Amino acid sequence: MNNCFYELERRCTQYRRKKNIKSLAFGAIVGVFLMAIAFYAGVFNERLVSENGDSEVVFENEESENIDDGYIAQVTDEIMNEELGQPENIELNSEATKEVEEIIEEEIKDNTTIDSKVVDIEQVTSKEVKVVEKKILFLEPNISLDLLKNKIYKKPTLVTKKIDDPIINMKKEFTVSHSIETALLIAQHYYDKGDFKSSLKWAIEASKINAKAPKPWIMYARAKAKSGDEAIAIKALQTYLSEFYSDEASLLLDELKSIKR
Amino acid sequence: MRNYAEAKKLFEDRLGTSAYFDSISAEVTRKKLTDSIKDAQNSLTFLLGKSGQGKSFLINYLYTTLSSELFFLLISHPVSSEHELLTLLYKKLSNEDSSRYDLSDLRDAVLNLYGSKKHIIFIDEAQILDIELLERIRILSDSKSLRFVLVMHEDEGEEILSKPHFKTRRKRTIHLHNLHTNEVERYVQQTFITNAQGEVGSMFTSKYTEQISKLSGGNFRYIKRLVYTILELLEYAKEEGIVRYQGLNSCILTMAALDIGLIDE
Repeated sequence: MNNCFYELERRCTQYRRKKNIKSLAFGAIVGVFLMAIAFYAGVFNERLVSENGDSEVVFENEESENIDDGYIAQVTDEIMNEELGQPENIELNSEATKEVEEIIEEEIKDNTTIDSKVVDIEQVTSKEVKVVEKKILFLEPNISLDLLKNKIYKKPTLVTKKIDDPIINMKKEFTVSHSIETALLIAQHYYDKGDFKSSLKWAIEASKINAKAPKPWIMYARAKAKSGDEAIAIKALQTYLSEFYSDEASLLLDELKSIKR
Repeated sequence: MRNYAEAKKLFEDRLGTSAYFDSISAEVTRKKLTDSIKDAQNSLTFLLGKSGQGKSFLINYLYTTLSSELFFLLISHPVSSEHELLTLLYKKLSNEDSSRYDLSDLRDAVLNLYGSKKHIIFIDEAQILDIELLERIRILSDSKSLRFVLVMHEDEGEEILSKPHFKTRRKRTIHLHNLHTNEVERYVQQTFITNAQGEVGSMFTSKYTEQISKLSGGNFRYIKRLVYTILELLEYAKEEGIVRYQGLNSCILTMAALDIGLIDE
């Protein structure tokens, strides 16, 4: 038994060592595999964003299935919190809108042009500019489509012209903050400049951050419609509305439908 | 004080019926087998199970419980021909010399003897019987005068049963299964406690009985061998004063499994 016992002990140690190596090797393989997946997912994602053509594929192919796989599956507590935060944003923007309107009215009374006073708005009323930076006025659901076309809506664009290459700053900010607001601001910037392809790209980028938010979809639909693809714009809105509720998206959908007719 | 020498004896591979363990599988099989034996219409039963699952143990247990109700004959050694089998059966019930009969007369004599008597004939390890002899047993059982239970290893038994002459005939097949993990724990603990070895039994916690179950696959024979070897190793470690093995641990368990070949290096 003496030899047998120690022989068994030696075999046991050897066996357990082998087992541990196997476990480690398995863990390493799984780790490498996961890293490879993550790497390729990252590369694929980059390509998807960088290629404009792909942006259409994302929306055109999805219907309900791709929403689940692509974006809706990413809905988390964070998204819920973001959603719950919306009423506060609306209030802020309503106030901001009113304030901007008041300034415009004052300017009209003074017989001065709105454009000439844009600089003043930026310089004097830092509060308004602050609000504009914080939240995007023209994409909030409480603002009607008519309001989107008026001067208040155009103001931020004019203000941003005063800053040195604002789009670079916004993109830099986006790389840091990765916020939906910044993505939408960039999308809106391109939209205003008539670069609808870039606008689409940034709308998609925004939708990746929050799949449930209506604004990226609306931005996308508007850019698509402007590009002449009303059918895709309608399809995108219908896809979104089949999953979520948004007055603004519904209004835009109705409007696009009526234009198409 | 842990008495490993006494404790390990409880797990020796013996056929003592006092240590019958009422596992779910064993209980179900026992009930089915008892019903099958008592059913006059059923004269041929197959009891199938893997090696070490407790088939022989169960037969012995039934022998002790049913032998008062009926004539219980257990044939546990190999029989090579129908004549040998009939001679054996004849001698069990008659004192007369069977050599005066030829095969046909001997068959009639056996059928007469057993036809009038409530009986059951168990043939253990029946998978080693010649296929022709098995066919003869089937024919004898068709007469309803002789009633058999053929105990076989699962794989070979399934193969025999799939043959046309057995497949189409009326018979009953009962399978014996392995123990579940929780049954392994209950078996080990019950064995220790009922034999005043609770202190040794307390080392076999759920963690270790789960490992024993996993290594043995719930097979009775492997469980017993594994626990026996564990206790043997612990006994040696105690005698030699090897401090690191003064109680059950994973290493001792692995050593035991390696020793009896349940683990390949």
